[in-house]
Amino acid sequence: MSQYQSVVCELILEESFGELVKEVGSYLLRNGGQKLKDLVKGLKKKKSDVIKSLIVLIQHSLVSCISHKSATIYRMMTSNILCRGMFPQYAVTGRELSGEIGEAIIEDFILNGHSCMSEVITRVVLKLSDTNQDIKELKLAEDVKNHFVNLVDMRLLQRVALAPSKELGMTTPSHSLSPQDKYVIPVELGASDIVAACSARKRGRASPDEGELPPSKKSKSDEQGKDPLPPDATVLWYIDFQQFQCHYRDQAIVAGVNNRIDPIAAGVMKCLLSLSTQDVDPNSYPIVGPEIFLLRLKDTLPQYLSLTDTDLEQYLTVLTEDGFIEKVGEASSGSYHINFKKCSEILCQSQLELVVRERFNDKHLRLFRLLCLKKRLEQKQISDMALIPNKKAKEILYSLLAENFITLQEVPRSNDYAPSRTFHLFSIELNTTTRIVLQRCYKALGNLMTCRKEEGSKNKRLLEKYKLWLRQQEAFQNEEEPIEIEEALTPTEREMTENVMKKIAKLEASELQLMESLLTFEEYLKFVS
Amino acid sequence: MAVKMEVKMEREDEQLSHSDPLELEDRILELCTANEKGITEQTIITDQPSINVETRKKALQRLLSVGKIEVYKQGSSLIYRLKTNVGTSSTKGFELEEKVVYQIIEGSGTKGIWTRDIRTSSNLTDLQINKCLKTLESKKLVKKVKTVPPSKKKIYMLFDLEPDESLTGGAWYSDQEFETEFVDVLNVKCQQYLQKKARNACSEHSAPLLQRRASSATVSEVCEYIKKLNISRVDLTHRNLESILNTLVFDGKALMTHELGPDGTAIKVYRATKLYTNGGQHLVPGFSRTPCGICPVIDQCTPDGAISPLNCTYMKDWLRF
Repeated sequence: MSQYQSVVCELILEESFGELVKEVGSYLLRNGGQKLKDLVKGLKKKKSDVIKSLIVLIQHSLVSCISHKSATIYRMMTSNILCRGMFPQYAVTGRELSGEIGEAIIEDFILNGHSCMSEVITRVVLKLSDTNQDIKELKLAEDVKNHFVNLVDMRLLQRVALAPSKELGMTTPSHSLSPQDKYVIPVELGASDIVAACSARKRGRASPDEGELPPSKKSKSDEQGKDPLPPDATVLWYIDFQQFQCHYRDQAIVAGVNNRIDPIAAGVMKCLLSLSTQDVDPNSYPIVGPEIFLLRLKDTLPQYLSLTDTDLEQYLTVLTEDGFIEKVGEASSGSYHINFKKCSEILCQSQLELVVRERFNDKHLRLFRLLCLKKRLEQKQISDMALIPNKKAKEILYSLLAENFITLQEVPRSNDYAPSRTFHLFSIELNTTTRIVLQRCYKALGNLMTCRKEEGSKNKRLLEKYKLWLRQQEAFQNEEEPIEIEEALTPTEREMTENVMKKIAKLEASELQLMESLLTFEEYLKFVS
Repeated sequence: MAVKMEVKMEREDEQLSHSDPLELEDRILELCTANEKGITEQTIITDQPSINVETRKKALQRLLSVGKIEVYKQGSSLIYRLKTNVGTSSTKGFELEEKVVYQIIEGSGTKGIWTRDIRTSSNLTDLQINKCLKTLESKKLVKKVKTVPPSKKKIYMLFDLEPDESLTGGAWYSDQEFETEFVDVLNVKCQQYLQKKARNACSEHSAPLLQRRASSATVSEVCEYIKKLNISRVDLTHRNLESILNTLVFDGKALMTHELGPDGTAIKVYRATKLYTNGGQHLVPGFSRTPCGICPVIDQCTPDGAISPLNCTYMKDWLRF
């Protein structure tokens, strides 16, 4: 893992869980897998604090526990931390795929980490019924449960296997579940059970002495009185990061087809993708998808496309020409498969091209693409082919070289490497260039996050005051005390706060956009490494 | 651009009417072959009334010095007649050094030869060579040609040869300077043509494959279009336009494919393409939308260095509302 990646990881950890967890996390990131004993020694912290931090990290699938001889080794799962950066996007995707309830379920997982199904449903029902009093709880519980099952069917949620750990005094997840079992819901839950749990929780919330306990303890003490444990307490669920990443990859491919060809082709591609990813484990990265027969594709094609057979075949030919899919055979009127490697390469290259165009300009892009197409060329050939005068071409090539977008190879004709008798060949290694740009993306992400953190901490007092002011304003909306409110926050202060909030929002939005770029590059690199 | 071209055209016309000794020489030789007994200066004047005295004089002088024609005095007028033993005597009457230099230059053909190369192959001193070249030039037997950058050498070749394209740079050079603007204008025009064709294809056909085929254009089609536009003062060959179309391919604005021509051979066709990331929010990648994506000093940037995200001016400007 690169230095820039670890900076981003640390910032994400600090933002989500605070200073202590960040310290434990960054120690693990810097030193690799560690035993608890070494971790406590290395960090010079109280054992109980370290254990607490580890539990938090494990709860959110950020640390893996591997038994090695007699001890357990704790290791950071870097990719999962980076996925955490995309959580706002995950919630939006949850809404797109499964509506408001889906979003609430995903958000709940984001907040609480691993949870059993009944817990999540109870919390979501409580949250939704809080905001909307009119909904009947029984129906809502049924709805939430169905959405949960739906998300599991879409494989956005997966089961986490458990193994007891004496060291931490809890059960820790292990990765021994087979791919088939990951998405099986073993215990049937009745809507009435959930409603009962909800009402118990509400009572718990009403009683003052329990009001301040954290949710996990609260639920325990609730259930001790009535029901000892929910029926599915041993079956924990969590977000399937890989499936989300796959979902975004598919979205990017469909968007690419849409831009390159037209929306109908994008529809066909979407259908092909859904057929290809149906029974495939997202953790395996197949270069090509499974074979799809034309007849099966015709059956699953959505109605709104209303394509005739010849049109469909033409679209498939066009997609083949552009390299997204490949024809496998002629049996049963033809079969195709998706070339995932090629797809990710196309998208990655087009992103890189745009990065070059934005960083430099059109002429740089021309030479960059020329080198991508022709592999290895001399300066004279480049300027002749690109119709750029020699002097200018030299300038462009060396500025690209200085930023490591292209490479230069010397091929001497004699042993002394005399410049006059040496060929200087320029070329592009897509793989290397992608890695370099990827590292810059991480650096940029780290920079944005640092700026946002700084902006937040610099104006902490102001932001808190603003929040208080907003709350006051809401409370006093109907009453006649406007003077007091105005005194609380001067117009300048208000303007300043709004400005800071705008800045933070811009930084946040840019971080998410940056994540999209990152994803494209990462996808491509998965195939070449 | 257009104004610049017009000016150039005028200049070219001027040159054509005033000094075109080579063409005139050919004409004089034709006249001489037609009249075995020889021609007078008056014959040339009646045949080519537009040519001025100076040019005519130069042409006759050169023909005489090369030994293609000879002059007689008949009464008070001079008669020019075709010399019968042309060719064998092209170096007749030369000094030995001149002859050697002439032969070396002759051997280099349309590619021409550089003075240093003449020196190495003739073993003469610089002084001798310069003297020879001066006399040969004054006799209009050889000429000096300046080549295009990057070499920018002075090269000698026989007077009546047309310099090779590698020396003049072809259509893209004028006065040894690369016409970047001209190339850019042609690039844009070709792109517009391909895009127009693609739009028409889109409205005419609904099937995607037919659309693609209909939006493809051959080089000759593009050539025709450019000729009709009348923006070029030089005749652009197919090869010229092919290289322009290739720059469109390198720009990512067009795609080259092969199609079966009418005579069964594969021909190159070009069609406009759209970017994979084009339109909507994908116009510019997320990375390039941040100041770091276009930062020239990103490699020197560290959280607590001289260049850091917290004191970055680009970032501050970007976050200013």
